[in-house]
Amino acid sequence: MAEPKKFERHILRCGLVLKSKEADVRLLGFDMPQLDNRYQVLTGKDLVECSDISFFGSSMPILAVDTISYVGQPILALFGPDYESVELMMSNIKPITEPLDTKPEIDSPYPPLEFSWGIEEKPEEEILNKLKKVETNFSFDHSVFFSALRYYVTVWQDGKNIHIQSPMQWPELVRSSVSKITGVNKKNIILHELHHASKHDEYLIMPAIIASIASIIASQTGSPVEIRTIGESARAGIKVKRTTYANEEGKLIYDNVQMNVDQGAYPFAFEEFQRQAMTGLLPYYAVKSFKARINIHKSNNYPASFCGSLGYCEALAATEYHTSRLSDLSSMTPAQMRDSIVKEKTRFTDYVPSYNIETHRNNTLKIADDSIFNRKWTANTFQRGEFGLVGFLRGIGFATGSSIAGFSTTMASECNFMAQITYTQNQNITLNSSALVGNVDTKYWRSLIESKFAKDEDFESVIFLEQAPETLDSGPDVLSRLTCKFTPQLAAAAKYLNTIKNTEKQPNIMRFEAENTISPCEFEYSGYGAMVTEIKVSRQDYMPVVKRIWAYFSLSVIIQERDVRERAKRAILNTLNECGAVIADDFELNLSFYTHPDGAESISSLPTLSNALTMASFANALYQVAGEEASSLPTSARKLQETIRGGKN
Amino acid sequence: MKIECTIDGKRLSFSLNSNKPLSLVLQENCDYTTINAHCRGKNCGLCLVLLDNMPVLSCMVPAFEIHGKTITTFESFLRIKYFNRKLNDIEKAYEDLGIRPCDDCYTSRTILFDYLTDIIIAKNNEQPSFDSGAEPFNVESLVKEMSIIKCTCMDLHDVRQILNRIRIIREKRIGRRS
Repeated sequence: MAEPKKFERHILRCGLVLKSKEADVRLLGFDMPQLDNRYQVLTGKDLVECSDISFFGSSMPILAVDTISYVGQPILALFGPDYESVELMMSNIKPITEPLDTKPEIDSPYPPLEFSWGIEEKPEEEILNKLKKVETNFSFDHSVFFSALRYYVTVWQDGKNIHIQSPMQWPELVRSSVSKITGVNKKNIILHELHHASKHDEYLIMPAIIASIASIIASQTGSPVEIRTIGESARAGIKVKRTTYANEEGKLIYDNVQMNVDQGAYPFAFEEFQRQAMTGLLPYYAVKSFKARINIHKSNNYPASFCGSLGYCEALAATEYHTSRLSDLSSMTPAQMRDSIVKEKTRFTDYVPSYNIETHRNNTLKIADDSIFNRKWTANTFQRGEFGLVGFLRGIGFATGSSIAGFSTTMASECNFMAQITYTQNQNITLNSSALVGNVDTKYWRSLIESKFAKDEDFESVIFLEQAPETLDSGPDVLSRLTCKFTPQLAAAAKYLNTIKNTEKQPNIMRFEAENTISPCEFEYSGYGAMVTEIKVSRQDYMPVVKRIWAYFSLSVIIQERDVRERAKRAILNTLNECGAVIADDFELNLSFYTHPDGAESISSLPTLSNALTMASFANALYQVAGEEASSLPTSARKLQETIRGGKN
Repeated sequence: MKIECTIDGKRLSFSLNSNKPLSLVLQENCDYTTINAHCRGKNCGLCLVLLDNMPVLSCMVPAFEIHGKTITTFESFLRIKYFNRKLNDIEKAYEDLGIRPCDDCYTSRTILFDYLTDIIIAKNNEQPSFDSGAEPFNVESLVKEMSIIKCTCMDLHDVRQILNRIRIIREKRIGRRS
């Protein structure tokens, strides 16, 4: 990656974006000091022709025009000779607002997604009353993440071309947004991607908005423009209510799930969210009748980004949480209950194919043995009854699950993200894809392509084409899709190219889809895992301290165990932090991996799986300590104190 | 306020607001790209520098505090030979163990690892005196210093491993040289 371009301070226009501190208000104007000609102001009303960015069928204003929908919405941008003076001026600018006459509609404007099998009609009350009932409420509140790190988006003009330098997870979104707002042809927009680590997908949407603002001022003034901002993103809030009825023998009859999702003020890709969440809600235990419904709601919260998950992790965590509660029906531990599932395969649905439950069971047994789960769980349960006032403050939680990656088949075929591999006349392989810049997997991709051509003497090298206007859009770098879906597609394309290069005239060009779009189901399972989390709630400050985690993953392909281990570890630690957990000083993480010999080429999204299992096992451990009220995530010392000590006072 | 200080071996003079945080002085007045955290004093730990060889969070240090002092940032590790050798030890330890701080906290953690390793080596080299009554040196208390960096990319077990590895590599290097 080239060194970032730096401009002399005296020619650079420095900009800051003013963000709203209130939501659901009408923006009447701004109370601002007299600004001299060294400053430029940009508001939503200045963006006459185009004032929004759009992707996945939804749009969002670049700067608020009439209504401010959420706290943190960009409402004004101010540019000046240096950041210090702009900051000073900005502190004197106050938005003039008034409350909206009518509150925005809270009811979902989006059609719910429903899926069911077995008995469609709701059974009569009389029948249900005779059955045993297990009801759980799993929730993960809408959370906004502010990065402590600043980043800079620089835009400058060079003749007809506009250059944009920024960290970005989806170059094409930045290019198309700037092209739309400035009217400059996409071919004249040159992107310079800066290295970034996007823990919460914070460089997915915001860089496109910031670059659009900066490009307007750059084209107006002709000077290079730089905007300084911080990474922000939000995770959607979910509430899952799940009810299962079982007969007297403990056989599960009806399973009814209702999931409500708060995707914030501007829900993006809500249909994909529903598909991914539905996949996570499918039970692997046998049940006669299953019915699930997912509602997406609009709210005045920060618009939810992907945050490493688009519903699947949270939904899987909810399912795992419920599965653990089902064990109470049969007086077994959660691990024994999972082990006792006798059917051989999970149900084949339109969302995921069935999988052999044997792997699942092996994972359960392995992790339960390693962590001595059954003994600890039983001991904790007994101890809980023994302690009087404050209760026994240790808990252990169990979770198992499988992983999916990338977008669904429907979404992938709608988006049509592509890449191109070429065998040139100089015996080089070139790869044209927007997925390349700054991506950590390029080293592996290089070796993957080389391995397909390794035996050939007429092969020189692999060249990854740099980001240019001709670069093909391979989609956003989210949901592990560039590792898990792109890699097998690339391998297949390279293999095909190797076979045709001797029979056909060079250059041999092979354009391929960045994702698998021929799957019979929306998703494919790509790896299984099990996790046990042991926690202790501090008697002094009621903080949930995570003492130990055992995690076991069985994957079809492990590219580099060291990297995989590191990724899993980071995902686990990050999720614990998001869930409100504190890591103990003597925290131990026992990670083990196993390659299951089913011959599948699919690469697992380890962060997705780790994320879901951590969430579920932590919630289960919290449940053992303090019951259901405390297990809503993210938890806090206050929430635990209120639950454990009983009563809010 | 006129402030004179030494940053990464360069003697510099600034005219600044006396309460401007050091992190912003480095970012805005020195154009440093290795520090880009601005948590406004929320202790994220990502803006760590050495002030007169003591680790500090630069967002908590007002400009008047740096007058006449020496500031060492990660830039020193990249540019100055003495620090560069130390960085090589740390990089080797990361490589050997396969554990690496994430991009966000890499610079802060690396500075702190270097600082803590130097202390551990110095303490280990001190002759133990049984009659002094001083408490024995406890590495654990130093390891916990690392929790000042709030990034969740590694736990204290990793920190212990890395510190131990850097110590071994550094002691070997110093031993070879002497």
